[in-house]
Amino acid sequence: MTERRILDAALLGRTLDDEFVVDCHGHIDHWKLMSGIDCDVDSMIADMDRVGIDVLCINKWNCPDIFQSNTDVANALKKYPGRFVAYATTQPCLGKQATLDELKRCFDELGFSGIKIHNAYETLPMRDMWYLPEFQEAMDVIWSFAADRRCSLLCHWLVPEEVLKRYPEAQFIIAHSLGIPHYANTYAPYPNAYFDTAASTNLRGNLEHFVALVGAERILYGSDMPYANPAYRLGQVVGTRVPDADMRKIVGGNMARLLNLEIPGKYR
Amino acid sequence: MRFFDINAMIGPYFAPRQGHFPTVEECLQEMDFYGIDEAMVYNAMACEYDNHHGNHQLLDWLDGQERLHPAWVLSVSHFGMPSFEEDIREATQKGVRLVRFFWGGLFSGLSSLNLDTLGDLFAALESSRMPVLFSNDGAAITLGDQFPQLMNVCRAFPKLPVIFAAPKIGQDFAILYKLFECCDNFHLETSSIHSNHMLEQVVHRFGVKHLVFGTGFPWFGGGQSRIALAYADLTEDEKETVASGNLRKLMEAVR
Repeated sequence: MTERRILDAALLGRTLDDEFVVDCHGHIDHWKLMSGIDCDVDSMIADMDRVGIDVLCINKWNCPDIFQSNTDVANALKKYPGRFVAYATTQPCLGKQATLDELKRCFDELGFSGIKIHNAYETLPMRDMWYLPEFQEAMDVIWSFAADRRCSLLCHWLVPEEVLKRYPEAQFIIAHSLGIPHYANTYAPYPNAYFDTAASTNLRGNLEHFVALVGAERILYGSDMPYANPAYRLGQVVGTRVPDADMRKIVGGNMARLLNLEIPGKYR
Repeated sequence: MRFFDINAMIGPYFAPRQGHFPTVEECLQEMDFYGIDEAMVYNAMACEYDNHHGNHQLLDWLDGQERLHPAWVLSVSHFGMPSFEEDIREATQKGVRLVRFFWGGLFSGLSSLNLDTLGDLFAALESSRMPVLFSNDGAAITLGDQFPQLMNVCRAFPKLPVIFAAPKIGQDFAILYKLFECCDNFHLETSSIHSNHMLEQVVHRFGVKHLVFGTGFPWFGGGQSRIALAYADLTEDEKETVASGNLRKLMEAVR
């Protein structure tokens, strides 16, 4: 019988103390918009502790001032060392120099480790933006920067396949992709493509489908907290037929590898 | 703690997710996998093709099954047909304790909850205290449009237990909370709730009676609803009430 200790612990509502859990997709924002509850960094830590999330990768994207957003994220890193990993929020329409300057500030001064790119800033899907010259220069800066720093990009939504080919040193996390099964086929040939579980359309069988097509090593637990309930999203992941050995990679091991995080001894 | 799923489906349906149709046996296996004790199930055939045939076929399938309870699907075709009161009477006599409407479904869906056309049907259901579950199957329908209509039904038929299930509720929480505030007879199925802290918000602000545990099987696995409730910042009594108590109470009130 398949080992399912992680599922059994979660069904009982037990904090996942025996697993190193890294959530690849979170935010710090005012999220009253979604449930009527305001969230701050302290309440996010409480939510993480309740479920057993050791590290949450965050950015702030719903404030139009990305410079302030990145500074706010840096403050969260300082307040809770080791609990957050930061993605730099980018806005390619600001142009290539401003984009590069902000990435350097985030990585070299504020201690960020990854990049978030979100089409909400641009009014166009990323695939279309790529073909517009005014965006392409700034986006080339982002891809090149990620490749130089060997870092991860959390991409909402699609990344053109030619970008994945051209920048093999960068790791592209396709946000919300577990909700769309054909993405497994689209991105399977690119070993630098990773798949995020944060999806409201993450239907029964999706995770097993992705594991079969791309392997457990390229799937990353993401919750999209504080918008989504991290326990609900954890249930979509651990509440599957994927055995514990693969599940450990998905809920934390894979993202720890991408981030070069040392897994604490108690989890080994 | 006992879990009673209000929202599960069996039988042949269009575009099966995993190349086969969920049978009684598969539904029971799924329940065992997640530790779910009982489920209220409907037949996909009753939703996607023929209410009458699907509902009666379901009764045959569930004959002798103690853990599975039949939910009948009604559709707008009942409007103007003289038989709906007989249907409801028959359903009650045969142990049906939930009827469902599909909003935007391909063949048997509602386009709107117009009380001029559906009022008699709802009145008949109200008189038998039959719980009614509305679920959202139509991508073209927005929750912002649906919630005011649900409020109209809840207000016009205050003894009618109304339950709503949707694949995703997020930004629409404000009008949803108004429904809870205004309508004691409004309930939400829990697989609809993926927003952070919404389970706790509903219980603490409006009362535990408004939530009913459900999974959305076979579209969704049981993990998300089970585990969201397991980790919720609620008392064990509150969790048990959501997990099974509220549904059992609604079923017992049917007359």
